[in-house]
Amino acid sequence: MKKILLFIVFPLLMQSCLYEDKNYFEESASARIEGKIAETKNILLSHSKGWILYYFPELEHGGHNYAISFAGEQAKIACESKVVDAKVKGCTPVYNDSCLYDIIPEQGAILTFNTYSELLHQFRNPSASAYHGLGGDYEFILTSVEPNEIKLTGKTTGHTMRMFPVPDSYESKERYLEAVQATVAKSKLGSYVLYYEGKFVDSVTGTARGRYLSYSYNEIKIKEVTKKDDTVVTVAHIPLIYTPNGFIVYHDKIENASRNVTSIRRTEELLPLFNPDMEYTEFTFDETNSKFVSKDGKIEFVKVYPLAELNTRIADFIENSYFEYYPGTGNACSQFDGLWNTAAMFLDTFYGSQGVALSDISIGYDMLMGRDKYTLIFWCGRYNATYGIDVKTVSGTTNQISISTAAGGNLNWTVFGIFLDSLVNFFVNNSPWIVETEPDNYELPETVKLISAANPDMWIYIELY
Amino acid sequence: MVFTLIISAISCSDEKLDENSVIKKPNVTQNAFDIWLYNNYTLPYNIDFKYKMEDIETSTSRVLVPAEYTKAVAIAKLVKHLCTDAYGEVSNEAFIRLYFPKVLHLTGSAAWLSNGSRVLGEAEGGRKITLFEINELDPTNIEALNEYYFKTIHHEFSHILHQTKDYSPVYKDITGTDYLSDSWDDPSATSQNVWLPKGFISAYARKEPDEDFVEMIAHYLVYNNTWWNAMLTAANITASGNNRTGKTILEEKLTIVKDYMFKTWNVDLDVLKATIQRRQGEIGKLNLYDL
Repeated sequence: MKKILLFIVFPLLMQSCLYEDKNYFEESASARIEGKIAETKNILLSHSKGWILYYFPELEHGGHNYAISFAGEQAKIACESKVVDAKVKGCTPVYNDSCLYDIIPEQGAILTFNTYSELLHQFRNPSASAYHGLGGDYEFILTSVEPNEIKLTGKTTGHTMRMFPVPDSYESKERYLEAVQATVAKSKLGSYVLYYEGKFVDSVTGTARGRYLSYSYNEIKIKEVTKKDDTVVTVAHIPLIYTPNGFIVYHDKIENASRNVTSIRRTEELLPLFNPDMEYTEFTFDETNSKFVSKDGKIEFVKVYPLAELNTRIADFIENSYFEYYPGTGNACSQFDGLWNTAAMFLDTFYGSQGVALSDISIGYDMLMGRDKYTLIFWCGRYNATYGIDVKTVSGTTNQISISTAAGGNLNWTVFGIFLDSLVNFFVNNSPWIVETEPDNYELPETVKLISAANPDMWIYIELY
Repeated sequence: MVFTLIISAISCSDEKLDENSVIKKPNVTQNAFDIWLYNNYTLPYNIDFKYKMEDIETSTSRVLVPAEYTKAVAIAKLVKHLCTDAYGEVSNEAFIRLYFPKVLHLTGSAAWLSNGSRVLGEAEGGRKITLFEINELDPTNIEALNEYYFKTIHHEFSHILHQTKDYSPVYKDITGTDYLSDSWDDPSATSQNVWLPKGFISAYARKEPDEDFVEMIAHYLVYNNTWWNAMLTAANITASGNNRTGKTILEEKLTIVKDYMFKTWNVDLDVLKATIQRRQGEIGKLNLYDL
């Protein structure tokens, strides 16, 4: 009898579990995600001029504006920046590129660009020297989708990003990017100081690429101007994204760069000048006074000297680059060719059997000694000879540099000197040099022609390494 | 029996899913390439050719970029011409359908490692092959095609074959004491002057017998007779500690490999090699980009 009862009661228990199941949503999970995907696709396709994406790869590379228009299964891509050989080369002429995109059901809904685009994937493209690329994403978790704003999170980086339709005031997405490029050109970060409510705080440095402020402020000064006692971090890195009017700092991307304070991450501690209740602070560039001003007028980044006086291309040349001279027809004046051939011949005669062969020259900051040292490095097969030099802009000019000999360098094969001195003297004795760049844009040039200001017959081409 | 057949026939009828079902038919638009892949890979061979990158198909710790669309089209046509159709020509569709990896996944970049080396291709459990560096594809460079893509495919396919039906244990003893396990890429072992006289066709072949076996097949198939004979000539010396030349060892291994392929799979390796070599010569005539 007990057995019979069990057979009767057990199915009842099973059934009671079934009826306790409640539907909290009108649709199933798969139907809801499918609905969200369809809705998102419609929104993406509804803006024929396209969308602007504030894209943040590894934060030390700052933020970059992408313009993306969606049509069918294709995404057309434009960008204000270009990555070459794992280096961000700043603004280049905008050009179009395309790839396939999709919205897939994973972690909610994900916008994926799943075939290759030279631009969209440029911060992710790995190489031998940067096996993780420059920390870019190609898949984005859609955290919020509205007709006029889409919030995304990079699936790999976790960086929050934002997309919004190309504003009506711009004829096309290309025009918008050009407006951004114009801001970069006018307002390039170089030598700025920081003011808070009109009081001087400290100096600020930025990379020549101009999308990253390294902000080493004076803690005592910060306490004075903010009246706060809990300020502990004295160095912050602030990636920024340029806009047609200035730039935006997203507070969640500010990084603590203090060597001895690693645990602090809250915005108010990292950057006490910024309002921690806000997601971001927007700055407008005041061209007349050469300064960026926050919308509430409290924070100002002011240029310490008008950068227009100093051609930004030259500033780049000095601060962040090194160039290569390669021998070849038309790469230098005949005088230099003669000096080169003589030096190469003697080196070959005396040391060729030991693997010595003069091949090229590196010019610029010293790869080994740091960015405050500049060198001429003569590459000679198994050996190199390095000469310390000073490179400075010529005061009162917009496009001239001077080159002089300086301490430093490491002539690792001293006997080379007698053959190479004539080449060093070419650079020193014909200084100052007029700098002509190709292409002639406001960012890093690919090729530079140095022409002696005193004697135009003396010239040499060097290429950005 | 009759009753069962009727039931089965009924259950196969084309019924639509209930509107409230949690299983939804994906709303996917197929482009021309998708349709081509369906007709040339999925339908005849049950192979899912994934040209749109999916990060879950490789280790998520790797940073990769997708394959360029046009190059994905080209490699799909090349794989069909040089692999599936070549095998199909000397065996049959069923053979490919049963044993060829079910997923081919493309990525555009190499899988770079922190030490500066890179992975050329990888396979998972005999089910999937991932081909890297599709964005570097140059259909005019047959050496690069073999090095980066086709050696990998034949290598991994051969793994599936021997994992399904094993080869003779005699093979494992031919150079049994010369396998190096994970030390195969030690700088002292990677020179051709080291591994070839010992009777290995590549540095990686020294890892273990299974890798040795599939490396033999892959190298024998993708390279022409001139290359193979040059390797035998270079191997015609006796390595220190051995009593036979590398050439003799390689020939002994190849005999077992050929015997295995013929007796186990009814594939004449020499006919297959000739077919692949002939098809390599036809690449220039293929329309690799139009669908």
